[in-house]
Amino acid sequence: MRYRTPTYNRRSFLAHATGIGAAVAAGSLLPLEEAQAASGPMLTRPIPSSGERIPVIGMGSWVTFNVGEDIAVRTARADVLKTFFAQGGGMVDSSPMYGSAQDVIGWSLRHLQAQGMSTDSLFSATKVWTPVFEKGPGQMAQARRLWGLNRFDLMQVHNLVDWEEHLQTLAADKEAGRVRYVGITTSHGRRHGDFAAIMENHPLDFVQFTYNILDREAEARLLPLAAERGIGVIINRPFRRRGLINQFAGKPLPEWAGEIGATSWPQFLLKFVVSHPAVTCAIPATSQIPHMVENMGVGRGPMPDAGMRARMVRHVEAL
Amino acid sequence: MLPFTIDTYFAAIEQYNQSIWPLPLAGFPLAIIAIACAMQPFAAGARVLGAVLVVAWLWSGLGFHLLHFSTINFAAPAYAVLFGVQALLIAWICFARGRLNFRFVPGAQGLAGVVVVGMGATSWPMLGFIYGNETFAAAPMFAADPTATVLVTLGVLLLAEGRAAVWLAIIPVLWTFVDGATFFVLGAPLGLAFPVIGLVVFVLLVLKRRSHVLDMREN
Repeated sequence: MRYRTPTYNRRSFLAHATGIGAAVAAGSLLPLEEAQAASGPMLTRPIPSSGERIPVIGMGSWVTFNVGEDIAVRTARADVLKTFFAQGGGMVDSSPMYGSAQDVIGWSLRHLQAQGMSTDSLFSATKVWTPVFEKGPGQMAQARRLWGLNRFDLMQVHNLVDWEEHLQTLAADKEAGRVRYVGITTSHGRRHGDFAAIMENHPLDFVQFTYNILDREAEARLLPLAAERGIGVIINRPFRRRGLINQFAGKPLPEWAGEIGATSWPQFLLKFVVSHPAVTCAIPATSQIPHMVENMGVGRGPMPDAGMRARMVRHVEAL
Repeated sequence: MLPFTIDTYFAAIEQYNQSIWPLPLAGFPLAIIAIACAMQPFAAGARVLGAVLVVAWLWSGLGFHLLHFSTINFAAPAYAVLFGVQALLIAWICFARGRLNFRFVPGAQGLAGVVVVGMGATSWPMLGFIYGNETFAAAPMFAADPTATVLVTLGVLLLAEGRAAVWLAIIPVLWTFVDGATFFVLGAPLGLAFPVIGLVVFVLLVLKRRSHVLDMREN
């Protein structure tokens, strides 16, 4: 379907201006270089299977980048991605399940490249999501076309759909150099038993699951198992899709939040997630530039230690 | 959880309408033709109305769901199948069986039918127009838009005679629940009005059918 010339109307204007305008009005958006310099370099974590280091804050694309073909909205998403890279971001995660997200990501990458921006820091991560094994290779090829890539850094089996067959394909693809890393994903605390069994019995570079300050089931088995097996961990739903942010929005931050460099509830919540020693990267999703800046700020400055993490849990559970 | 926001949903409608512009404008005269055939029946009126409904269900099912909405909603192809089945049902009942006839009877059912058609032909498009970008392309029109198509269909079925109307209402009523759930999850609880409308229409159709059967037995 061809793109039409954007009609710059109320919604598209708001889509484009809201992020920057609101941030400027709130006086909270420093020039990006100043914001980065003010709080230090982005924390990176090693991928256990290779030692390659990636930024601890990545970007998800569930809902936020599924915006269809509205050029004005796509341009706004490209600006979010631009902010992500400018702030030191690396991993961008998507899936065929996310509607037009992969198409929009690819469009945004080309848009940024046409502006002369380097996207070399991109760590591309997507998923294969089909119960029909034979369709897997075609789906992954389609993803490469949409992103405009010759190969992905990471290919994951989404929600364990037909995982046994797809993992065989991914292993062969890794051997042939068509993908650099392979992994599996789940979310919402589902199928942790199956997940652990696969981690114990199959060679994986990454696993992706849900973990946040209230959903801590992964601490019991998956996180220690990942550390034990040398598997990188990607965390989805660090905010329960804004649920945690909304839950704590009306409550004051604890006074000691400043000790870990958290100036807002999203930063407090995300600091908890990425401070777990077994976590390689978290992938919060956002469509707003100020939120992207806020998220990326979590990857700088002090990180809570075990004692502070326990204190953070006690605090939110008492609210 | 749906893979899109309500803004993306209405943007998809606008993008779709823009891609086939000015065809969506045909929705309003088509709705007028449908209600006119129902209220002022003539020899071929039922077939004309049936043809309008078949076109509408195929257009919104294949054109919107399958070819456009599927880019942002992985469930859209299944919706397209549902709409295709409804189009076939209408065609079968109307053309093959000749069991679709209309007669406007003044009263609660007749008035409800006109009101629901009006919702599909004007109120729902106006809401899309206002919520969207206040451009005509943002208005979800009958035949191009699934929800508008469902509402107009339910309205004309209230003006139909015979038990075929009850059968033909099943898929549209189911769709009002899909719509209601969708808008509720998207943060628009007013969307719960859709299943309420669907249930009310279905109850009225069943009561109408029972009343007709009782009349037949007494006579």
